[in-house]
Parts: sequence; structure tokens; C-alpha cells
Amino acid sequence: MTHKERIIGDPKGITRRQVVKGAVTAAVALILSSGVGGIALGAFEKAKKYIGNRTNGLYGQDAGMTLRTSHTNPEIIELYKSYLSPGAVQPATTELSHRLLHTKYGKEALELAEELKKTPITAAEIETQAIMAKIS
Amino acid sequence: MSEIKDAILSDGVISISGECKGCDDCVKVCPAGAITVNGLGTKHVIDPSLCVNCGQCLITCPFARIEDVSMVGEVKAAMAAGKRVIVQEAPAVRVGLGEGFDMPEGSNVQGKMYAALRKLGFSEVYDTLFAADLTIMEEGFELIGRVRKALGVSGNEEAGPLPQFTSCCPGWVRYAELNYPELLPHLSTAKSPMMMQGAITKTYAAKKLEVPASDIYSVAIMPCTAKKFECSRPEFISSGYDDVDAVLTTRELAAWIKEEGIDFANLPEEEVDKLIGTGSGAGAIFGVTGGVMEAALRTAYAVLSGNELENLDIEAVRGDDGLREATIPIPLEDGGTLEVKVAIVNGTKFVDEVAKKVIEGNSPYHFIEVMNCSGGCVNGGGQPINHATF
Repeated sequence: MTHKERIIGDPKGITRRQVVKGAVTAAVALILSSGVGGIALGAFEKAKKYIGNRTNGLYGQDAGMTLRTSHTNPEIIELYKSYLSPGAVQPATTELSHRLLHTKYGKEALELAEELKKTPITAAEIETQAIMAKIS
Repeated sequence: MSEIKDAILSDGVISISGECKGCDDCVKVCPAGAITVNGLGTKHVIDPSLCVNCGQCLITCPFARIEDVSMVGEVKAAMAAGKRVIVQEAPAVRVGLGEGFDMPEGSNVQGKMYAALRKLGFSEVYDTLFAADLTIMEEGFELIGRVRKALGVSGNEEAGPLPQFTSCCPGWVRYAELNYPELLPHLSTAKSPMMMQGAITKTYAAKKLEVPASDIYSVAIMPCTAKKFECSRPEFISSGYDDVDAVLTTRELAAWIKEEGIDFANLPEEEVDKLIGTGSGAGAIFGVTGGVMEAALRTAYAVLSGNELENLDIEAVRGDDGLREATIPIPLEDGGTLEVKVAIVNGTKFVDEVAKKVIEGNSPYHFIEVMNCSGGCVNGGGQPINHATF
């Protein structure tokens, strides 16, 4: 197993979590009881304020838009109809949406990486077109 | 795969410089227990095998002694080499970037951001808002499949188990991989908006633009340092190439704009490029805690009931508590009602309680949103540092 494989596929195998967690917990308890760390406590109030302002910035953008739902986005509808599921809007069904828009985690992510290297994107494009043509 | 991506996978994105003062503020904000303490007042070290790369320590450090790996040089090199350099920007970037230019906190500088990116040399300026909408379509239909499977509706045998967790946040995904491997089947298989945008850029957009995918260099501007780790993962090559070649943070974009002498605050606003640039308000709120949930519920309601929600503001999922719960009744087309039970975890440090319930089989939820950073992406580790440093 290479280092990269361990990082993605078997992270537990190289962690020292239990040891470190114990050390961190003890240290945090010590710091909190000693009253050190006033900087962070003052910063917390300031962070709350800028988080709130940035949040309002995004809610404000949403409230001011006429296009407010994902399924009514015309460019999304066009992407499905002309590419991902030709002739229709069918999320999460075709080979092409699985290939391009879905993933796997942990050890399976590594297997996925190998699989993707072996199969060209054109295979998924051809399969998707053929199936959608049959349906219509 | 570039050398820098290999280095990120091995050593992580975040490191503490030799000048650490040992104040312990980073230890308090780390959600992953990844910062080793060797005794009060001594230099801290980040363990890359535990770190989720979220950068909360970096934006908190009162002495600005914590750094993230930069990919800015790679992007400039791609431009110099004549690549077609295409960019996307996450929702939270537009409400953080202005702070880099002394504009009021939370100013939405979307139009100026598009203009500045064109001045820097990006050829197509698209927007991650588009892929946020695409994520809702894929993740929303995946959720409906899981619900139908649980109800015994045939044709959904391949669907995963309930509840479904969101998977947009690379800090949370990494935390789950490191700490809760048994939860991985519950994570939505939908990629994050950034990775979807990258895959669509090098396939659909490449075809429409009549550019070979091999000539495209795809860049993402993110409020997040963990996105640098995410784009380096070996499985994100679905287009046949690296789907996202490089990630820059909001901070790095602000610094680059300054370096070029662009008067950002006075830039005339510009529009996004069409094709894969248009996004909805649902996509915009992805940047705040509860936003992915709200966006998904708007679409789930429409698909399951056949009608649009009358009031699109779903207040029940908004707020800033660490753990929030809500039940959203959705009238079904056959006359019944589905009571959709959801939870929102605002900060990975609050996830353990929910994770335990799911593992024990006692979770009442259908759908759970988890964002690593308190407040969501608006407070990501790649956003401008908004406090004095010493």
C-alpha cells in the first residue's frame, strides 16, 4: 500500500487518534481552568458579527432574485436535456450523471480512481445517448 | 496529477510555522483533535493524518503563524503557458472578498468579482452557483430514491440507507472518513458543487466552447482550505483529466487583485458568462449553515407535491445553533403527506451526537446537513482574516 493509498483508503491505520485525543482533552481542560486564551474569547464575539453580516449578504442575494429554485434554472434544464439525459430532465439516473456527478468514499474512492483511469468518458456518453434514444 | 497535489495528499494543506507562540487558541477551534500540544507555551504541530484541512486554526491564530499551501503559482503558470483558464467561485466568496479591500463586512461584491477575474486573465468566468443547483438536482433525487426504498417502493433497490448526509463540505467528508467509516454509506454520493462544476467544465462546456478538454485549466475560488485537499483527491478525474486543476482561497484572490494594482472597490460590475454560469438563489444560500438543506427542500417539495412552495424562505432550518432540527410536511400527489425530518449540524464539533444516533439506528431523520465551519462556508478557513494579528 502506497502512502497515498493509506491517506485516502485506510486513514485509521496511520492515526494516533486515541493518544492525541487524550492529550488534547487534558491540555484544553488545563488551559480553560487557567484562564489563558482571552484573545480567543474576545475574537468569538467579533466572529459572530462578521459571520452574521456575510450570512445576510447571501440571504439578501437570494431574496432579491426571481430565480430562486434549482430545478427552474434554465441552464440546468438545458444541461440535462442536451447532455446528461438527452431529451429529458432525469437527474441521478444516466451513466453520464453517475460518472461525472457522483463519487465514492474511503477505500472505494481509490477503486473508483482506478476504474475511471481505465474507462474513457466517451463510453459513458455513448451509453447514455443510446439508452435515452431508446426511451424516446 | 501535479506535484503540489501529491504533497497536499501526504502532508495536508495547513501547517504551523516555526514562529508559533504556543498560545493554544488553535487547539480550541480545531474540530478534529489534530493539533498536538507538547506542553503549555510550546510550539504546536498539526498531525496531517487527523487534520480535515478546514483552516479554522489559520483564521483564528492571533499571531498569523499558520499557513496553507498555495496553488497561485500553478494558475499563473497555466495562464503563461496559454491554457484556456476557466474559473468558478463559491457562493461565500462574494460576501467575503470585499473585506480584503476594506469594504463593509458582508458586502456582496459579485459583479466586481466577475470583473476582477476577467482582468486577471481568466477566459470564462462561470459560477459555482450553477453547480450548487446541479447538486440539488442530483442529491435531491438521490434522497427521494432512499426514501422510496425505505417505503418499499420497487425500482429503488440500489438506493443507499437513510438518513442521507450532505457531502458538499470536504472538511466533514474527511472527518467522516477518519472517524466514522461506518457512516460512509449514508453520505450522499453526489459530488460537491465545486467538483461537479469542474467535471462539467471539461466535458459539456468543452464541447460547447469547441475547446479540447486537454487545453482547459480549471480553477475554483473557494472560501475554504479543505477544497485544496478535495481537488487533489485521485478519484476526481471523471472528465478524463483533473476535473479541478487548482483551488485559490478568497484571501489569495484578494492578494492577487492587489498585486495587479486593480482598484477593486471602484470596478464597474460585470455579468457572469452564460452556459454554466447562471445560478439560483437556492444556490447562493449554499454558503450559509442550513442553506443546502433549504435549497434541497425547495426542490423536494416541488418534485413530490407537484407544486412550488408558497413561501420559499424556510425559516425552520435557519439560525446559528450548533444542532438544529425541523419537520417539514410535504403534501404528496397521491393525497398523503410526507413529514420530512431534517437536522442541521453547524460545526463538525456538534456532529458526534447525531452520528451516534445514526450508527445505533435511533436517528429519526431523513436528511442531515453537516458543515464543518461554524456559520457555514461564509466563515470558511479561506476567507479574509477579520481580526488584528500581532
